[in-house]
Amino acid sequence: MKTKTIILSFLVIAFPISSFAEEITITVKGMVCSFCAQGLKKTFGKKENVEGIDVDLDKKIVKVETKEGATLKDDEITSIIHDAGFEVLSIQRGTGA
Amino acid sequence: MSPTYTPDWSDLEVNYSLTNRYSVGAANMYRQGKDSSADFAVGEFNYLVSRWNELDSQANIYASAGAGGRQDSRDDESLAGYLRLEGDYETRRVYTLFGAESLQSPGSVDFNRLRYRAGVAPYLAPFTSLQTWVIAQVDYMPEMEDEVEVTPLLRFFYNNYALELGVSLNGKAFLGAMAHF
Repeated sequence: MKTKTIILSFLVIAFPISSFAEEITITVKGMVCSFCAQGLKKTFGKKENVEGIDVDLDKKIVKVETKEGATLKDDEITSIIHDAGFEVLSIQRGTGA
Repeated sequence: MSPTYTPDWSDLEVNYSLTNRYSVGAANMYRQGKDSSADFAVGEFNYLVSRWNELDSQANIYASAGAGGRQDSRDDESLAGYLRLEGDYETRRVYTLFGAESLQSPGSVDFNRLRYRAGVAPYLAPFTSLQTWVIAQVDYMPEMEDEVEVTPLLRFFYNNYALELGVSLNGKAFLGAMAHF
């Protein structure tokens, strides 16, 4: 029991959940031009909880990496994309380093 | 901001987007036609009437309306009105546009244009790299000396800037630019 407690304590200290950044992959409908990509990069770049953005025009994907411990909700992402004039096809989430 | 220039037809437009559907701006336009030439200054309102977003394409219909004044080559001044309707369709490879615009002012100082554009991107590049389009542009302008102007042109995108260069089959230079801030 004591050993398990020590191991669990170690894991919590070494890998606290709140310290993970989140990598969000958003597939965007209508993002076909250079200005579209630039606009979305600029818009996401203004968000305080965003660490990095990458846009793949060929795959119509916007990858957003949040800052450690931060997140972006689906409805917030959908709102950002919609306000920029595009539509969200899908949102997938993963955990970054 | 988007200036365009030909020797007898040039525009300088500055627009501010209020939302993704509305923008307001101001434009200075110069026209040198068969019967008159004039400078126009108008304030304009632009509206995205409809947009269709698909995974590999986007299509739009835009409408613009403006009002202001004009000064013609005889120093005659009057009011002026402006209307424009445009539709475009774009993929990563193909681009096409149809537009109609009209500048109207008392004294028969009117200028109208129908425009069709079709273009292809000869290669695909990341959005951070230089993008190139090869475009054919056909203008019908009944009040101009050359009523029909066919212009092959190249369009370059880089970051927030676009540049268009061409020479019409009538030998007129065409220069266009656009900057997004």
